[in-house]
Amino acid sequence: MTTSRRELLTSLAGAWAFASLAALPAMDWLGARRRSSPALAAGTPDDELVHVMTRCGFGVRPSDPHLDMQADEWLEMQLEPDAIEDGECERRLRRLESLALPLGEVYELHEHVARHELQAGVLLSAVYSARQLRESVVEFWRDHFSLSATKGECAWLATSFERDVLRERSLGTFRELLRGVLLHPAMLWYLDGRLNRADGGAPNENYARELLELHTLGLGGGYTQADVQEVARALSGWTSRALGASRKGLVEFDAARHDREAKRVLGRELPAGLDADEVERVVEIVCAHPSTALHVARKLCLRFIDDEPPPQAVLATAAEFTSSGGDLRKTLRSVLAREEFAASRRAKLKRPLHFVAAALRACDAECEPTRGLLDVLERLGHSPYQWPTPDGYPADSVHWRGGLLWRWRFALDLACGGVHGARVDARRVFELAGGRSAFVARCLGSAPELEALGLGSLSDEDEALATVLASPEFQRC
Amino acid sequence: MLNRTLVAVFLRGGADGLALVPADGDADYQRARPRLAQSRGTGTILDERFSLATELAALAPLWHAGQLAVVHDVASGDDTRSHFYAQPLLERGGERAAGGWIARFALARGTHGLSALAFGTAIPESLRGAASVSAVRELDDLDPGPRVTALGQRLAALYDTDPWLGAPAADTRSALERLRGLRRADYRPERGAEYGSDGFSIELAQAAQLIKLGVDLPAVCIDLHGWDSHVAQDQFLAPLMRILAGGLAAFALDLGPALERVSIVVYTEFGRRVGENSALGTDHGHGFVSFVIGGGVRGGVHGTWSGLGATSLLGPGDLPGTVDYRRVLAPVVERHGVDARRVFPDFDGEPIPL
Repeated sequence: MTTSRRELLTSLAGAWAFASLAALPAMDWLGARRRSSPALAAGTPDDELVHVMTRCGFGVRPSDPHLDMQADEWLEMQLEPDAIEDGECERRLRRLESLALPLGEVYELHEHVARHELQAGVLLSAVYSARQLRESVVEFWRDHFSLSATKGECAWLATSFERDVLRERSLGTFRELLRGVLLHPAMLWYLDGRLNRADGGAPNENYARELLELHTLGLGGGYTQADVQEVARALSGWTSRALGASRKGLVEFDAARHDREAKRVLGRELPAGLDADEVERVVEIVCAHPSTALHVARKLCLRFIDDEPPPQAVLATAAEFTSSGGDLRKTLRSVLAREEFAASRRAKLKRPLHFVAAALRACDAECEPTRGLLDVLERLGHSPYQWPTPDGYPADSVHWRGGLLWRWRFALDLACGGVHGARVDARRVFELAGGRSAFVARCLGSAPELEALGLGSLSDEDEALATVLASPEFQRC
Repeated sequence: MLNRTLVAVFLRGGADGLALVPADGDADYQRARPRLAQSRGTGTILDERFSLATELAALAPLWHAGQLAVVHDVASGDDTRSHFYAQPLLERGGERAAGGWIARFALARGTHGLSALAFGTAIPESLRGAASVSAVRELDDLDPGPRVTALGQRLAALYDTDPWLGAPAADTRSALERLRGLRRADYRPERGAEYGSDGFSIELAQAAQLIKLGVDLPAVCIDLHGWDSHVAQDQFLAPLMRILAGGLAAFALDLGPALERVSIVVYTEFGRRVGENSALGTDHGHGFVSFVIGGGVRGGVHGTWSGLGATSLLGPGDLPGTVDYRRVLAPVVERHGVDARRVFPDFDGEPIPL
């Protein structure tokens, strides 16, 4: 990272700077329809579309009915996910019964089953959902509000966390999303909020610290140890019903465990006796803090534009976040409207989940929610809900450069039909696309010539398909 | 530093440090363990306080050659006595850093070969977050087969022009070449090293095979289970200790000069109660013993030892853990050319001069 958040903050020198940010030139290419691209064969996406489908989704699926769209149209469509028909994905997820169970009922399953279905659901959604942007955004929040399904009762609770919080609120307001996270039993378990009580000793600061450091203001965002302690006191008393109780997972406020004294959080007074309402005040204060806007903006730009996000893009995104009241759809739209986004084609490396899902999509693979595909993710070090610490899987490309051996093996195994739980017929993949060139054009846009890929002289269809999937271009997004 | 390998041996279950390295020169030890204590002189004497367990006799040559470092009373700062809390705690190497400590080590060390290898079916917590880590039951699983090798070759020209992926791809191709046709059964240990037929020794033999192959491999993780000795511990710790010592000794002998570029570190989640229990076992305790072998280590007994008097013990009578475990791991990590602060960001203690 060239520009650290601390430098950015220093350069901002106060909230007044946000006022002037609104005046930054809007480089909105989303609205500017560009119909002048040279005619392509029907069903062949232009490079802009390949770029947005690859960066903002999990890659091009040759059978996608939207390959004739313009990139900007596709993004506008994707920003309204609920309007997109998603029957195929819903049908395929139906076999994973726990995904539809109410929170407390997931406990009826063995925790391994719950965890397996959760992970399989993440992968199948990435592969099959037509709401590709939402899947990417959910993945973004899954890292931002990371939790590991190996801690405490998280294996049962993460199902609802993913569905009812991350998915449901991914494009609403940041405040509602944060409220959902903060009072979800999975997070109360993961960061020990449920053990945070004011009666008998010092409150547990674990969640309060991560709330400020990771979820909102960010490291160096201007909070102090005193703020951490005050937030911990303010959040004391919230707990969730555990195994052995009725209504497992129910989140409750126990006034007897709550610190009822007045507090001071980030310079704002919280009068005594607010009790359960105090959490709302804390959410309000942290969401309104300028560092939160910058922190979220920077992470969004890192995810969607570049590992070293352009400072101008970060500042403009933070300004949009602030002026829209933390409207995530508007904030994301402003990121995707930046010229820097449009110009960042293939600037990033697909993380393993992205790579695996993209390969399965490119091949129109028939996937079963079995262990096989999840083992691949495990081997590549990217199983959903397995990162042990609250900072989430690394978002930068450098972290993920070392896994080529396993990427190549997966590419070959998949193309040859050797991955348990994924059926692929290489001959059919090429036929449906209208030949090898057409297939490459669909998946990668203007990519290296077939000769450079060494496909011209290759008679074996499986190996030809593996070569495309293992190519450097396919690793990028 | 490329071409150096860290071999981390985790003794699962909480290995009894006072069984592995008894303080048989200390009268308090004999008093605390009237029925379990080893008598002075039966095991290799390390100094005026400690001896090796008689069952660890196979390590004596390494000790005499100055290649075995022993650190007693090592622990994390958390006095948990839960296996399931303590194991991941140590494997993560801190509360705040992401992933496992060996994963961060492998990442900081950098490789485009294998990154890290764990024997078994699952990736241990210490490797969580490492890229291209593999859990293998045996080396044969690593043989990529001719088609993957050909795939790498076919794409070589394209990868060569890629500014990011060119170097990792070249390293991957070279690893593929070396791993081709790899068969465990073909391996012949050198210098007369004889590995046992137990799983631990077989895994070490395969680690040696891989290291000698010259595949860049920053870390190998090996688990040895079964140390949770609540009951009749003499009976089953004895064979387990023989397996541990026999495996490590054969591994060191087999590697020969290559041991210079290999560090072996042996650790566990916690030690055990100083006093024996009524079932001739010991219960979960705190401070444990750690071994470091190879890689130019300074042999000897290191660390601080506050004795076994009642006032120096912790809680129900446990070794207090005077040496933070990262004071042992940090110098090992540094010897592999990795800044220990990158591996243990929330640790600022003094590394033990191993």
